[in-house]
Amino acid sequence: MKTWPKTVAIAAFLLCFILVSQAQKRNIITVAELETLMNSNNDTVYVLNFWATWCKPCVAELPHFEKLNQDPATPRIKVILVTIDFSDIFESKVLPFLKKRGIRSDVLLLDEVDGNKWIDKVSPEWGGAIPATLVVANGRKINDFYGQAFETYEDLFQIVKPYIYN
Amino acid sequence: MNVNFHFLLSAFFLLETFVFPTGLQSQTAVKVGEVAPAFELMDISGKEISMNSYADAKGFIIIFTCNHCPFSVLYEDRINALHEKYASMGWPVIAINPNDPVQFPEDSFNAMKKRAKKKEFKFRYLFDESQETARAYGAERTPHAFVVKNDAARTVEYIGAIDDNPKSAGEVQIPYLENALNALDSGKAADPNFTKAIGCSIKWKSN
Repeated sequence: MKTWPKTVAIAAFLLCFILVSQAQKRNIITVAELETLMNSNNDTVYVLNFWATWCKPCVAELPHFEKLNQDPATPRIKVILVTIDFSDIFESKVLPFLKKRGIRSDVLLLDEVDGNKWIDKVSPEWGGAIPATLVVANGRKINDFYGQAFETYEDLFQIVKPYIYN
Repeated sequence: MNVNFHFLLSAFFLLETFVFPTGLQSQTAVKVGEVAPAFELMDISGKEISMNSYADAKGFIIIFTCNHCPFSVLYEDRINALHEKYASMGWPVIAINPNDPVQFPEDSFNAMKKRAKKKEFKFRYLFDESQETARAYGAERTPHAFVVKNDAARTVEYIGAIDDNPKSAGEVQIPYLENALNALDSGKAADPNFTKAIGCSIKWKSN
């Protein structure tokens, strides 16, 4: 009888732990944290898409990024949607916006209003217009920047195709 | 005749092949220290305006901006304030809308007139119908500012952001453009003379 609540408690804790670790990452990050992410050196190929809820061409291409992230043929690819929406509307506007559209990719909000502090860190080629996408891996040995929107899923798939197989 | 043909052919191929990647776009853009590309564009008042339209200007604050872009909207009052402060010092704002009104009717010439009236714009608001001026300057986003010194050389002296805080005018810590203007007005060079900011993409015409 005494061990019952203890077992339940442990089971509940484990369940929570599993759920949290599977959860979509939704964080507000700094420029330093973005840099750490871009310098990641593991097997993952990150597709960082810079966007905002108010940017029409950005929103139009989100489904392509979601499809890429869900595609079972590309387990090595990880899409991260980096929004430059303002931080005070992250919970109230950005997350519901994505949920409504069935977007389950990780979303990070970069909390730095001064673009001059970080645009060049993503790519010196970038003039600051969104949407923009960075494909990055292996401590930036893979480092491809695209300052354009992706009209079709095929257009997006083409840029990661070289990296699907290790 | 041959030289012209080859030039046109090369220009055609360059535009056809490289119109998308903005990296290459910026290679043809004007750089700080180079001569500012000339333009003659229709203002919302109905007048054709060029840099020659100003007899006494010390320089020009050329800002590529538009109606629809939320970042442009965040800066509207600040652009107006810049004009009010600097025009009397000899540095008027010349705003240029580079966008394709077919894709974005909110950026049409008529819409520009309406917006200017509603927000009481004090500055010239020109329509870059062919988008040639935007290409010549290498405009990469809205808003995107260029300061031109009105001396014999007419060089570009600053390219970039208006300030470091699109979200809140009251919380600006580095007014990049004003700092550049103040330096130039006292005969010094802008430093930094090149900055970057987030903005909306230029809506280039298709075809």
